[in-house]
Amino acid sequence: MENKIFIAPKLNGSRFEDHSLPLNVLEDFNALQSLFIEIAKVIYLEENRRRKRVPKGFSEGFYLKLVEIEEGSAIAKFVAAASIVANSIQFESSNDLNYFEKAKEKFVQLVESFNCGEELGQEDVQFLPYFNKIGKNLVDDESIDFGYDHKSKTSSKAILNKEIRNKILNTLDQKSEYQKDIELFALVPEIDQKNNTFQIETDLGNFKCKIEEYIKPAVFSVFSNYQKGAYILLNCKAVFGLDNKIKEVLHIDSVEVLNPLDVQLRISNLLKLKDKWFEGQGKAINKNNLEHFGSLFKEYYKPNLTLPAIFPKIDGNIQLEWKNESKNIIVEVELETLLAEFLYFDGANENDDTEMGLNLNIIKGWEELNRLIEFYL
Amino acid sequence: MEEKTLLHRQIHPIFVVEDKISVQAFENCKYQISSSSFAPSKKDNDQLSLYNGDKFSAKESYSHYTKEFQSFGVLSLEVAEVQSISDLKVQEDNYPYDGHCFIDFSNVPSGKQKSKRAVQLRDIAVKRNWTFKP
Repeated sequence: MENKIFIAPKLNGSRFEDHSLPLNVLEDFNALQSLFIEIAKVIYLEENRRRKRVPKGFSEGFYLKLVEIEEGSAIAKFVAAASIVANSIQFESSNDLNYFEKAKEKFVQLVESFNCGEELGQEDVQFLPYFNKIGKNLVDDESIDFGYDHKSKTSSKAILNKEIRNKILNTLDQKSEYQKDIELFALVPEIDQKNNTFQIETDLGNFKCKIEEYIKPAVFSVFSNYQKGAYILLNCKAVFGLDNKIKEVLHIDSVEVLNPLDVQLRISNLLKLKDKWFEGQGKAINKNNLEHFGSLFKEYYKPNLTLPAIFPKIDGNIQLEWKNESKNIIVEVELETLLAEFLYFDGANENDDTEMGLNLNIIKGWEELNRLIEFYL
Repeated sequence: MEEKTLLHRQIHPIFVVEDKISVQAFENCKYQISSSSFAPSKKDNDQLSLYNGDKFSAKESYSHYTKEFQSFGVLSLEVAEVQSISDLKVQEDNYPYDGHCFIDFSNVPSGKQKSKRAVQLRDIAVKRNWTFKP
């Protein structure tokens, strides 16, 4: 763990003149830590549009540690401590801290914009509720300079005091919603041709959307196969309330009719299983583990290879199955460790079978899987 | 129970995915059924539960089962078909209900062989097509 100072806000006010921090002010920094994590996730997903979720362990590993309180009012020096995530493919964790650095810069910019009277971006509204806690314990003569440079001893314009905090909270009151681009898996149970709209059924609720010409064929195709469970993937702009629930789908950028074997869709459906899902037995699948597997699959499984059908196992793990005429492949994956058992056999030839272990926690394991699928199917 | 008696297996919805085999969306769709549907779990003591077709029709078995559990539909096997697969035996125990029977996997020597047998059973049943689907 590096001892590099991550943020060194300067606290001004009579309570801080003896370069100490009252306990209730430290609570504000707890909320700040949560906000950094939230902003980092948003930045990660914006920069990695192929991804639907942040990598496993992305936020669990990050926390702020107060290491020093410098003289000159109280300059609270925090380091960003990041625990090493040992069980994931290494390259995933190496850049994670950069996102938190960017999150910190974004936060400083946000506070500065309120000081300078700048207009708030639509996408930043979602961060305002955190100010219900950040700065809550400041009294009249106090302020926190979040952009303070402790090396050059330079103040910034990112100053939070009671007045600025009230400004932020008033803005929050006025803006009860925000807009965000999202991807949704959806069924289409209804079309209203008279009003040129259609209904989508998603895990986040049901919404009415406008039928544009460019999405019509896909929408009608999936609508006619609703009973068979046909899904589309929608890229759209949605309006969210401050409870982070979708209020409305504003505009659809694109629609894709999904292959029923689509892995991300399948993962989404497998995660709906609750404990005791099979005849009173059956363990629900761990969300983090399954989503991590999904990320690795998307990254390393060769796109030109036949997709497997992914099924749950009663013990909470998964089983991938491929079938081509009499040839069968079954890969049982233990999600916690990503160790897998590969089994191939030809139903028409008793003696044609192969069994081996695979480690899907390393790139070589995926390369081997790809090779086996290519070879046997 | 005779050789031609059908044995009915309930298929959980999560063990069924559509398998698109044509570029024309959904015109030539078939279902892919997990081989797990025909494999006993560890808790089942190597016994795969089925409904005796002499006492339940496929539809009746579905109705009986879905009073408590979820089923996508019913796939069925003849007694003779099961017993043609080495190391598998059909047993009728009528417990916990009259008409309960099971395929005994206890003589199958290994996990790999159990998986193979499960695939064989599935393939035979799928070839017959659904004997009941709501």
